Amino acid sequence: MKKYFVSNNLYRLLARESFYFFSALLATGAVIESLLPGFFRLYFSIPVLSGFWLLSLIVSLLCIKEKK
Amino acid sequence: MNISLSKKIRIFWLILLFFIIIFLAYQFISPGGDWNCEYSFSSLRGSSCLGEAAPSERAIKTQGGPLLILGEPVYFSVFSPRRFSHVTVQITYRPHLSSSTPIFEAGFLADKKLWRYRLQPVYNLWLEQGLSSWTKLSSGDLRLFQRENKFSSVSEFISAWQNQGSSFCSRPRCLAVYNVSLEDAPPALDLRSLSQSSEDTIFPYPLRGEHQFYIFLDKQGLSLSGNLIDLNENKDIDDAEILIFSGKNQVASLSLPDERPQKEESGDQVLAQPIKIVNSDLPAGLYRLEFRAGDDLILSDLSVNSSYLSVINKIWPFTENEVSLVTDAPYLQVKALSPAALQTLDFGGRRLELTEIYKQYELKGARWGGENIRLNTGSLILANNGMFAASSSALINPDYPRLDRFSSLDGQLDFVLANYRPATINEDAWLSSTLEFEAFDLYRERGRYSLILSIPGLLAEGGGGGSVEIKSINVEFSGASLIDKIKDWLHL
Repeated sequence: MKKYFVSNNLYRLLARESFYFFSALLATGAVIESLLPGFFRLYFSIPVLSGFWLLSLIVSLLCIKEKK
Repeated sequence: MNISLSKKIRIFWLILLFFIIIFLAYQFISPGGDWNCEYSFSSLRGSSCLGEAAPSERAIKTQGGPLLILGEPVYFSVFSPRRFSHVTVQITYRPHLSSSTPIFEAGFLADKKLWRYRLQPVYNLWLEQGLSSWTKLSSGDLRLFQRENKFSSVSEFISAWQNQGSSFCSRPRCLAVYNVSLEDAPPALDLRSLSQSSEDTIFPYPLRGEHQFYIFLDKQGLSLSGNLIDLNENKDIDDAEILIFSGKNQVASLSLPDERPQKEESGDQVLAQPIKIVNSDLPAGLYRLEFRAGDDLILSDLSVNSSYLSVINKIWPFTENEVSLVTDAPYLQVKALSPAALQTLDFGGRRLELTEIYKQYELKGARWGGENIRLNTGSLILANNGMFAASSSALINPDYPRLDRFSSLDGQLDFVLANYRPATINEDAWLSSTLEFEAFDLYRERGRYSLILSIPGLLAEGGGGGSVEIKSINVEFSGASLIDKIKDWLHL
């Protein structure tokens, strides 16, 4: 069975923290939109935020290396 | 203390998220007591506090240009984070209107149940250009137009009007009004000239949904009776009420809650529920009755101890039998809501064939004054700016003629009184109008108000009448600030 570890470099760190940040921001947006529909979208573009979230997720996954 | 890079980055974005939440909370609370929603149609912003114009076939969004309105009405939703007590709307536009579409108004939905909008004038072609040969007097936003120079100031006219009624008129109904509050104005007719008869009037046709009436009591005491029938066709609870007004004052009311056992949408009709109002204290005079009800309710066998019983502006007779009515307006708007109601109707000898449901037809009469309406069957919605009655002897109209698109400026009118703020011309040749509304009781759903742009007569489906270009709409809400609210809570 293959074992994985996360490579220890700056890009991996930034990608992971970006993923956490955009996840938290989108979750905040979801809560606000459920309470006040349209309010969060006045200030933030959901497609753009979702795009950055997806990008950070992909980069994070790409930084995972197989443990040798 | 040595903090790792990982923790530094995490603290950074947590602080950023915290400030974002604080910013959103600040915007939501609006501690200054105001909120601004500005939208330019030439911008490429997708999301806005101003929703998309609907229905889309009446408004065309040009690429990088203004919004082109081809039909009316056009609706927008306007987001606000909370309720405010006052709203100012500034519209920048270019009107391409004609004599068939002289009036451009905007407003907000005030009553969802009765679908009532509170409108204010944006642009009035007649007041801006059509009455240019008349003498014009101004006092604030109040404007008086005279065919001949009879009064030297607006205050002189108001004084004569309040004290002597329309005695300055050389012919009946010579004064038209536009956007003027008439609650304290003298009636347009001399009540002493009305016939004194103690006979009751029975309205011979059942009426569907909301209606308003004028009655005249020649002696003290009101006695009103009728029957209420619930069709149970839609899903809403069918509460109703009857309100009686003298001028702007409500003097009596009857609440009719829906306690009927039949389920909504079942189609089960309830046996007629009798209604009765007896108020022996009401003094003789003119009264307005308001029957507030949804379209599921039928008011039948309406009887009142007045020899006059006029239906105001809109009537929906609910019967399969022939209907004969009179109206004092020179035009008629008709809409059929079911195929069974399609027919050829007669309006003052002119015939109109209705071939489509949900389409609003218009028919102009042959003369000014009373016209007869004959329908093969009821179930049509009839509307105009006048009164409807079952007979000419029951017709009473204490309202002043309104300056609308059917008004004739050539003959009948000698004076026009308008509460109107003229449009300002910007440097780039666009016009700009500012409208003020009290917002505390406007209808608001899911954080959004409903804004309407209305240009009566403007038809998108090839009816002509022109168009209006909208460059921008700026909505400013204002109300109590956070400090005011805190003072209010603490009773300071």
